[in-house]
This record gives sequence, C-alpha cells and structure tokens, in this order.
Amino acid sequence: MGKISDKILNEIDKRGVQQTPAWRFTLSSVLMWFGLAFFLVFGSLSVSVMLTLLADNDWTGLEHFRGGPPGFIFSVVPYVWIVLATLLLAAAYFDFRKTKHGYRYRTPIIVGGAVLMSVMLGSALHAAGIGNRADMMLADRMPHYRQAVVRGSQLWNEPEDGRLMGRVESVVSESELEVNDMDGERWNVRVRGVRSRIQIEEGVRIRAIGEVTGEGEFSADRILPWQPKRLMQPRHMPYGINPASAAYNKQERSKRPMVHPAAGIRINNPEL
Amino acid sequence: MSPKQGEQTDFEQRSDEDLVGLVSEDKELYSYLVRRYESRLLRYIVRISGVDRDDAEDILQESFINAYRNLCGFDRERKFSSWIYRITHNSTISDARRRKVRQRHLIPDVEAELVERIASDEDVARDAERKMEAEEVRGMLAELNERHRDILVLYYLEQMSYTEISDVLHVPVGTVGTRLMRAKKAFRKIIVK
Repeated sequence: MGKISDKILNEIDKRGVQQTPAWRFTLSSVLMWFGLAFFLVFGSLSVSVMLTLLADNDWTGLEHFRGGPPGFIFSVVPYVWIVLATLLLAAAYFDFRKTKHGYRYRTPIIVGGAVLMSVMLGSALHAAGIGNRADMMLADRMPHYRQAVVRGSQLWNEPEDGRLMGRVESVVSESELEVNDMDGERWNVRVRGVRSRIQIEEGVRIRAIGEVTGEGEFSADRILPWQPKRLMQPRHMPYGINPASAAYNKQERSKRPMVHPAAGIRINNPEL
Repeated sequence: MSPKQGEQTDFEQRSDEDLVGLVSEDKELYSYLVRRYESRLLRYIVRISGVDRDDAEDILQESFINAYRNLCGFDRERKFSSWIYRITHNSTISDARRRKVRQRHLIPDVEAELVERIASDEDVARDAERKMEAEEVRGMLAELNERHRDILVLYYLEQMSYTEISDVLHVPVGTVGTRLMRAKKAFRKIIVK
C-alpha cells in the first residue's frame, strides 16, 4: 500500500500542485454570504412593493368589474414582483445550499425560512414606506415598468367600460358634477337617482359607475368614495412632484371631508 | 524536510485534523493522511463503481491530489474522513461520467458481502431467510439504482453513521434515513422476487 502513497506524493511534486491559499476559501465564503444577503434583501424589497401595490387597491365595489371580485383580483395581482421575488428567493436557496453547512437543511426548511424572512422583512419595509418609494421611483424612471404593473386605480378609470374615477372639480347641481379623471380629462357626470351618505364637494375623490353618454358626458348609476392610500401622477403627466409625498397628501386630506366609505352619495355643496 | 525517526510515532498518533494543519508547513506529512486512508478509499471506489484496481488507483490518486489542493478549505470542525470520502465519491462519479457509463455490476466479492450484510439487517432478515446462491446474488444489486446502492455501501460496508453519510453525500441527515429506508425496501423487493 505504501507504493500508492508514494506514487501520489510523487505526482503532486511532478505536477507542481500547490495548495489553494486559505484566503480564497474565506473570500468565496464571504461572497456567498453577501450574495445570500443581497438576494434576501432584494427579495424582501420585492415583497414590500407587492404589499404596497395590494394595499393600494380599493377593495369595495368589485362587483362592478367584469368577472366580479375574482376578475379584479386576477387583474391586480403584481405578477412582475411575484416573478422577481421568486427568482431572488430561488437564487437565495441555491446560494445557501452552497454554503458550508447548507446541505444539512431540508429544502422545505430553507425555502420556508427564506419565504418567512422575506415576508417579515418585506412587511417591515412596506410599513416604513420603502416599498412605496421603490415603486414610485421605478414608475418615474422606467416607462416599461409602469406599463407592466397594473394598478387597481387604472382598472377603475375605464369610462368606456362604465367605470370612472377622478376628483370632483365642481358641484354644478344635486345631480350634476364636473370630474377630472385620472388622465386629467374633464367629465360632466350626471347622477341618476342615487342618494346616500357620501359627501360630495370640490376636491373629493370619487368612483362613478354608469356609462358614457357622449363626448365628455358620463351618466352615473352609483357614486362610490375613493380613498387612495397614495396617489399616482396621471399617466400623461411628467413626474415632477411626488404625489405620494407627505406634504401633498396632507394638503389633499385637508380638502377631503371625513366620510365613512359607504356606498352612495350625499351632496354637500354650501352654495346650493 | 522529512519527519525525523523520533517524530514519526508522534505524527502517527496525531489526529487527522491536526495533521491537516501541519501539512501546510510540511507537505511530506500529507503521506500520513494518504496512508491512513488509501486502502479504505480504494475499496470504497471499487465498491461503488465496480471499476478494476488500476482504474480505482487512478481515481484515488486524483482524489488525493484534489484534496491536497483544497486542504486549506477543510473545515476542522468536521471529520477529515467524511471530507476525503466526499472528494473521493465525487471523483468516482466524475470518472464514471467521463466514461459515460457506471458499472451496473459490482465486483462479485463486494456484491456478495453487501448482500450478506443487508440481509442480516433485522429489517430485511425475514425476507432473506433462504440462503442465496452466489449466482443469485450476482446482479442482484445491479437492479438497484445508484442512489440506493451508494447509500447501502456507505451504511453497510463503510459502516458510517447517518451524520457521516450526510457529510459525504451532502444531503440532510433526515434524507439519509429516508433514502436508506427506500434502498432497503427496494432491496427487499428484489430478494423476494
């Protein structure tokens, strides 16, 4: 047997085999952990944007969508972010498996741990407003991102499909309002025989359900409140002021009457 | 610098992990590690691959050279034996891939020994009551898939613990248990045929 060991040692000498320095292993391990942290942080950021987008939706009045609530949910699921978060978590999984002790853990434990960490960190980032900032920044700088992410508010702003969303510019009469929609277009909204508890006055944001009756004319069967948690700039306008900024929202809130988001309207124009 | 006569016994008594630390200062000490493991690993290569002795020696040589190259990356909190088995296991699999075939039939002696050991396991014993003829044994293990065969060899012939097998195959300890159970089940199916 001694012959084999001699042969091996001779071969090591003959080929001039050198030991790989320890720092290379250390560096490789450090890079692996940095990679893991990177994937987890960005996975969490994806989760936080996902939560921001989901929380941004108004979940009332969904029966007015084609396909009802499931149709609405299917449309507003943030697929882009789900795919991105999945890819980052998959990368984190494979990276962790390559760490020194990674193989000792079962796949469900690693995947479950990565998902749990991402959800927890993602929720914290969402609560801190980081998800919102990331979404706004991407929407501001990447036109393709804006097209790829469907927002609930966009689905509400489809007058041709009987849904109009915007801000009341003036209350002409008990049954007539002037509304600026999300794209900045002016609509003359006629309210057909619905009464309820929502106060309508200038500056209030509403959702109207009905039909387009002519150029800039909309006939509403129902008026619902719209209380966005944050505001996106109209699509046709360049990004200058961040509509989600605290100052902007404070100003907007002061214009808005405190109403319960119940269905229906209550006209409240002191001039009438 | 080769180890002096008086130091030889000292080195022979040192643990593998200690020797690994000393090899970076004196590469001749690597021969102690090689000598400790060469016969076990040579047997292991033959057991899992079914190659002849010359080919097994080539694989063993590559394994030790590879281990020498990566010696600084060895985690001394782990067992050197598991680490060197892992490297040898990978070299054997790579060699089989290069040849594009891994022997289905093991060396007859290995096969007989393995079958005998598995059959003596109390889980399997009742299914293997009848004495098997050498001819029956031959080819019996060829019916098992490689994963099952590897784990049976590590457990019954190399007599490793679940943790050691986990370190060699780089799978969780729980998976070792599951895989071993499935391998025994597959083996039982073959012997009751």
